[in-house]
Amino acid sequence: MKLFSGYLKYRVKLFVTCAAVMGIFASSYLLFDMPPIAVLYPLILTVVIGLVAMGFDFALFVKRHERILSEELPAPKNQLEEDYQYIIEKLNEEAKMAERKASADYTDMVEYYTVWAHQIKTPIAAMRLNLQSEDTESARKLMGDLGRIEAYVEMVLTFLRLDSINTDYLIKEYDIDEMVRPAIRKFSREFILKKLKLEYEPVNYKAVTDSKWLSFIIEQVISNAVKYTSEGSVRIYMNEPGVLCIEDTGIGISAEDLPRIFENGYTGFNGREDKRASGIGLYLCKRICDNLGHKISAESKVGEGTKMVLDLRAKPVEVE
Amino acid sequence: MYKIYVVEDDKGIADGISQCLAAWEMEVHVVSDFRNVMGEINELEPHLIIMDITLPYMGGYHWCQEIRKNSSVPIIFISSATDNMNIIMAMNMGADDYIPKPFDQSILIAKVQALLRRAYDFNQGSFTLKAKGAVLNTNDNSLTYEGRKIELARNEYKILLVLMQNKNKVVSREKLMEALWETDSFVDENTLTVNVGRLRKTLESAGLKDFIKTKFGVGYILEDEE
Repeated sequence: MKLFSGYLKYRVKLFVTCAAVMGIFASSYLLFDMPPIAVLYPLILTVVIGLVAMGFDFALFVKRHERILSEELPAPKNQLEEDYQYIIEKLNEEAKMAERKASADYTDMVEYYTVWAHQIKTPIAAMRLNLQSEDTESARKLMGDLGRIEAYVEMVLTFLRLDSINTDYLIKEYDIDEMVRPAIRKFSREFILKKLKLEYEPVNYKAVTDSKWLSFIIEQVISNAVKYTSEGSVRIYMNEPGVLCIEDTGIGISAEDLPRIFENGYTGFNGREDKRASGIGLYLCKRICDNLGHKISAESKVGEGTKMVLDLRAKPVEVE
Repeated sequence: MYKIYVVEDDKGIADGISQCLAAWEMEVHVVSDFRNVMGEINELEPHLIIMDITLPYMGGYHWCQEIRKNSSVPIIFISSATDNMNIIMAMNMGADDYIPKPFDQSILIAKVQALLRRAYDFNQGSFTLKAKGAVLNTNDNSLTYEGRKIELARNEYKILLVLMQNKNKVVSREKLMEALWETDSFVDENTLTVNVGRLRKTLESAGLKDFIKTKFGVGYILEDEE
């Protein structure tokens, strides 16, 4: 119906002209006192022929309309159409060029960053090995910082892989403790240096997930807990099967920042005080959670601590 | 003494590996000519090879294949690539293990020892640490003194291991805690004190009095005049 009214609009000049011509003929016949049948007969005849012609024309119009929509332009019928088509083709080509260039640039960038991440891992590995044989306060501090550098490198790789089509997921049942323990180990030096207490008993839960990606999330959350807690403890537990909580007694997050901590680049009050914050860690966590079908949320009170909640329960599969 | 051959182009890492394996009385040889890896291997006849994947001239995969043509010496790959493809490749080329960079000394030592034990050490004689006539066996976490075998609890063993590895050096409490955390025993300072106390009691009942000395405010030391 919409198509038909569009067609009427498109041909409105023709219809008005036809109606005007018919009106002039009819009125002049009537003026010369001809019998009405002499007026009506040709009128009906022309209307019928006109309607048939219009039917054909409308069918053609619909066909052209469909072809244009399928992005295959019909041969131009006049100068104007030709001009339009020329412009469309030019735009199309430019768009394709831009797209190709952007995707080539993106591939180059991803390749470079991947190479960079591997390059930087070699000096990190060398420093780590050599620092380990030193048992001093400053060596320990350097080790802690080195751990942070490693975490940032990991973040770069994660950021790049997140949207890449080459990203590999290996979804199956994994033991959560086997991801929590290595994550804790990564930050053990900072725990010890800051004299933070760790309260963790194996949670004995298996979740359907991808171990590499979920490990990144758990590391990120523990890293934040350690970073923003100067005294007290970090507690890792499940308050019900499948809901992993990582709770610290750190500086907390203010109520106005809390709803936005998972946004890209949002650093909030804590971030503004701590220049190292990029506001990207939790954003990545949220994105990965969305991809894996997990849920991540936070509860916090300024000065009392933060509790990050990871819901790893599988959604019930609906059978159709 | 086991001979270890290290094929790694980064000097810092090669030095680090040499240092931590030397503590276990292993003879470490670092590659000198990257074009002549096979020649050096044939000459040295190492017990184990540690190899990077990206190397000058020829990559690690190439050398691994070459080595496998006539030798079954254990090979450990170390690489900064962590994707599954590279790990699978390495294993398919005939490697025995794969350690992603960066890694901890303890992981490297554990893997090297495990491979050596499997390949050569059938009667479990090596990988022991000695101090003051006591011998720590890394195979079964026990201590032998004057012919008697003393069973050690997990944390006790780990503490003693670190102290004996750093004989005649003061080992800080932090370092001991770090070592315990590596074995997923997340102790705090108080627990460490309790653990050391318990270890001392175990040692004393075996006749090893004052085996471990306390350095106040710093840590512990195991002195051995030999």
